[in-house]
Amino acid sequence: MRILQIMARINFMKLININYLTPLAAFYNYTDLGQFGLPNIINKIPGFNNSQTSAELIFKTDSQGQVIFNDYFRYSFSQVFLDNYGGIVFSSCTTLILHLRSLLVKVVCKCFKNKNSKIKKILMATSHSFEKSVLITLLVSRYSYLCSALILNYAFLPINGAYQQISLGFAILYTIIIVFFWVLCQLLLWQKQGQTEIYSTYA
Amino acid sequence: MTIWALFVNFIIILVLELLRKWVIVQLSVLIVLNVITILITVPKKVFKTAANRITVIGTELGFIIINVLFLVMYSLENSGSYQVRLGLSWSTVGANVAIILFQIVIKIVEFHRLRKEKKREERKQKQGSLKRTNDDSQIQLQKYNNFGTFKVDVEKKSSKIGKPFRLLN
Repeated sequence: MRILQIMARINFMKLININYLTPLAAFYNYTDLGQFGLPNIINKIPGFNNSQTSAELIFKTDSQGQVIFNDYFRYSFSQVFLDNYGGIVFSSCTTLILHLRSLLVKVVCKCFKNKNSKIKKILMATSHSFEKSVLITLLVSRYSYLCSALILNYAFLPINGAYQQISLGFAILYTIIIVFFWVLCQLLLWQKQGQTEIYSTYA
Repeated sequence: MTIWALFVNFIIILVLELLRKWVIVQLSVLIVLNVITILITVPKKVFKTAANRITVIGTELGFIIINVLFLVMYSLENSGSYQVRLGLSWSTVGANVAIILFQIVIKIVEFHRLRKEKKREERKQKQGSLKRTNDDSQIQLQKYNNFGTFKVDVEKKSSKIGKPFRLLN
């Protein structure tokens, strides 16, 4: 998970508007993991690639509405949240379906009468490991992409089509998730600090 | 530290996307953020294991080097010194690869350390349980011996008195 996070951070350095010559550009091309696994199927919704162009002070956009960050190597991102993060949204949806499957596995496991059944043990182990890692991995390892997609979406607010409106809906949903995640981390930190203070007063 | 990591990553993306026109400011802010992260990481309370601290410090140092290389590259952009810029480009590739390898190496070393520690603890527990069983058996043996001598004494006394001596109910 940490490696994926670092890889994303390394790759985001390519957005700096410098002519860093071919070796580094080739390195960035080879190490870019993009949207991590599953393709962005959500872009089948009508209205894809129909974003508005704008000549704002901070951003530079091309004729197709892509926000250009590096003038020399034309590294760009879309204004629409689902263009940048759709693959990960799709992965998250499939993961949630799999999560429901793991809940189903638990129900099935209760039907096993034999407590030492090997099949039951394997099913339980897979569902436990799945619950622990996958959702957090998806959220944290692609965190940089999520932040980037949210910033661009809120900077341009494209709502000129069904696809863009659905995209905005997903952006709001993911904003709520990310804020919830931040608050949760902060609460955990406070709890941890409280515990250490209690220990130090009793020590 | 998780909240700080999330916050810093968010700020980094903000800086990268909003300050694209001011490259020097962008890189300076990134360097400052890296330095702040290192300073926050230095106290021992922040991380439970030294490996995590080393990983974060190493990674941030790597990113500081990359930012400095970018700054130099940007300042040399209009000077026409192609060879120097090519060298700097390769150095940046090296720094990036070093960061990735550093992460992997630290993970492997930490994994081996934890495994060794676990084995040592298991061995200690085994030795402790063995010692405990030895002690228990010795105590039992001693009790038995004491009981035996007591029995012999009682038998001797009872033979002197000429009456049978009841030990137990």
